[in-house]
Amino acid sequence: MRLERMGSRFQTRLSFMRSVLRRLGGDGWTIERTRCDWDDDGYGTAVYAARGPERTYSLIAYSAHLDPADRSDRVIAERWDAAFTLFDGEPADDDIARLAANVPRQEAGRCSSRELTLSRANRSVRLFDHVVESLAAGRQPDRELVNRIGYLMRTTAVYGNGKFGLSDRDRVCHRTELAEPYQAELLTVYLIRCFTHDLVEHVARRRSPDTFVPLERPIRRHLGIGNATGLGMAPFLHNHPILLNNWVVALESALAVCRSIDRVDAGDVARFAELVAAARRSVAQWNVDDERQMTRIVELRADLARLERAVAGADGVSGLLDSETVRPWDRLYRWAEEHLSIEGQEMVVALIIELHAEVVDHLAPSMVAVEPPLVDPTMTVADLLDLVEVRYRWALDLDFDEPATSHYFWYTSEEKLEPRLGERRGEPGADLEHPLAVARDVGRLCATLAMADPQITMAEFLLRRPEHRHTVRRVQTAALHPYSEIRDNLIGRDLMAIDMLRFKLSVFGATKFDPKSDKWTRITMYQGAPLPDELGVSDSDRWMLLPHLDGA
Amino acid sequence: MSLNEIAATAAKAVRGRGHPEGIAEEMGFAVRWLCERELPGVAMLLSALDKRSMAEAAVIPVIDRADGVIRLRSTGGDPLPALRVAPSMAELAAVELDWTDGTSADGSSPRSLEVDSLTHPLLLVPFVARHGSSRLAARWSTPDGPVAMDRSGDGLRIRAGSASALGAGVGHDVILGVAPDGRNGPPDVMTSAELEAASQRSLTSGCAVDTADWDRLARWARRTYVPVSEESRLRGAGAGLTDND
Repeated sequence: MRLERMGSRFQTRLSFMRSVLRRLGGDGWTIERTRCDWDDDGYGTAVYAARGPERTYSLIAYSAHLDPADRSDRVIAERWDAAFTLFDGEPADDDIARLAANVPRQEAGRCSSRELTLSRANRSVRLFDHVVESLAAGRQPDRELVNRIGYLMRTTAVYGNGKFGLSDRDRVCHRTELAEPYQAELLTVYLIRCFTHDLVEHVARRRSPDTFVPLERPIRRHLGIGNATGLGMAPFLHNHPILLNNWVVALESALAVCRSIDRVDAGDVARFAELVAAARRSVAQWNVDDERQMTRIVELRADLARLERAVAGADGVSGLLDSETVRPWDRLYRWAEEHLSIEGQEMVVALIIELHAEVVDHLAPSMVAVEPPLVDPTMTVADLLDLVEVRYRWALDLDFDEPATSHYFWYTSEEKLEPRLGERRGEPGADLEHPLAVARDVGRLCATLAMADPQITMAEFLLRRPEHRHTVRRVQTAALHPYSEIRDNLIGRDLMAIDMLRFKLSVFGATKFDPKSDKWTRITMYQGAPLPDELGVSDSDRWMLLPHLDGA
Repeated sequence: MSLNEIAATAAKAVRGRGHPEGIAEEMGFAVRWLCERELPGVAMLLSALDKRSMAEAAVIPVIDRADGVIRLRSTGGDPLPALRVAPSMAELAAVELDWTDGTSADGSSPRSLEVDSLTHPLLLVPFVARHGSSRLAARWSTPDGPVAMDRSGDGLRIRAGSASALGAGVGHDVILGVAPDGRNGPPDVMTSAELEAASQRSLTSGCAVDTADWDRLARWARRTYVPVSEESRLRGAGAGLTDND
């Protein structure tokens, strides 16, 4: 899989936010605010309990005054408008007190194994204040502004899996509701969304109790949670090759299964046409400042118009989909490959998969990975060389003597442990670079292998050359897991790191990608998602695939 | 500390000391494995990092195969460092030892892999434990008594003459073999049931790590971080200093 395609992906029904919502709805979860001591400005502590058939998880939210000069989305910030943790169970008073001393400090505090996630969020100052003023004055907020921003608050990190003392994922991953990746983190974000809706109404109501009106449902739904995602997320895909592989395999399998469906009926065709129309409405409301992305969006709009015509048929030519066509999704996919941009093709993939829950949803549990792979010590030098030739031809063809090919280096800054991209020839620190330079390291491995006895095993080779252990493991992993390696040079000058971010975010279920540079992006999560009392409505998780607000 | 933090920090510490990435990954696994079972993994790793080991780390072990034994040694006769060679020892044993039933052995396939002296031998334990065959076993002697590990019917057993034997800085006459005879071994220190119980405790409440030890480990880990400059702060992460609507 190459970055260009990875960076064009959209949310699908296999995205983790979607499976969270399907579970909450399907298993009858309820969400209740069990504590709240907010003052007039909304500062204080609140607890939201999500109750499932077997267990309860509680979001504890600490909100406090933040000086505008201190408000920053960078991981180097030290204070936030609100800080959160997801507690395993229902917290007692002493838990709340203990966490009050730690959670607002985020990375500088400690959690215990009774907490699953740690997070923080800042207000979208423009929108938050506008919504408060509007509701207090007895009117709904401006729909165009609501759509343009899309969230009242945005998270800037959601930590889990043992960080800062949080519970290890291994402790809880046998629980059905936490078995798939990121379920705790994304439940946290859903509950934070509930918190933001309540908070803005609370502040407005206190400001002007006599004229206050609550948010209208469609607007409330259209307010998701924003997020600013930077390079911190990018090394994850490199460091979890089997997980990456399994995510891609699930998506590709879903598509393959749909493409092999023999026939569709008139109902399916009609539903697909509805999805295309919804996509057009949604993408019409997706606008960004970034030139590169805006150009792609404009092209996507043209693609969707083309798609709509092709599906409906015109001028006596029947549409691409009808009950007579054999393997209609395959036919449609091939048409998309030929006629649409990459984003257009990926949108088509998302729409096709969307219709076939019955053959797609069961793939969701496969998007996990078992322990990191062991080196296969029995493989000979000769066999490993063959493997590299087959799997890493793309890497061997790169010329690392060219400066542009090793333009960047990945590193972690001492400051808040923030991952960054440095320019090898402009900045210090390349001696501490992270091993994302797979292509380069594979080249070096090959050079060493070529001089070794071809018949010796990896066991012996690595005893003598431990510096290649990491790369040998990766190459062997790629043999068993074909999508485990991103087939692009991650240190080359034309790297678009944002493609890595968008891929992972799309697997999470994010929408409204809003790149701010080639290294970070804003997104929206749960925009259009069902509200807590709508979770049980069948297929309500679909509402967030193509978010749209009338009148915006 | 959570197990994940221990694994991540241990790996970074090894990397910060200048060892290769692949070794850092393996040691992250090993220290996590040990701490999960309430064995002194962090202390052992610190000892291995503090030792003036870069010269020894550059040692390339020599492999001698003769008389049914694979022997690893360094060219100068110094002890081999477990931090560098432990994963390979278990791998070589898995690949080259004669795993057939003893009765068919004709002496041509080795029955054991041996090392005269191995520093920080506790670090070897996780690699023996995780490797495929349940019949891979190990033993060595220390100034404070012998240490042995094997699998009984119930699972992994680690047996040591004393707790300080487990924490020894050097192990002598290290033997990895196919189910060596444990009949005359030292009394049990940890049975498989105890190892499992320790693991559950660690998952449930995290691992207690000595504060001074953790600080030292974190200091090694910090050597993988690039010091901040105003320039790197502005350019490297892609965003300006404030990201606000």
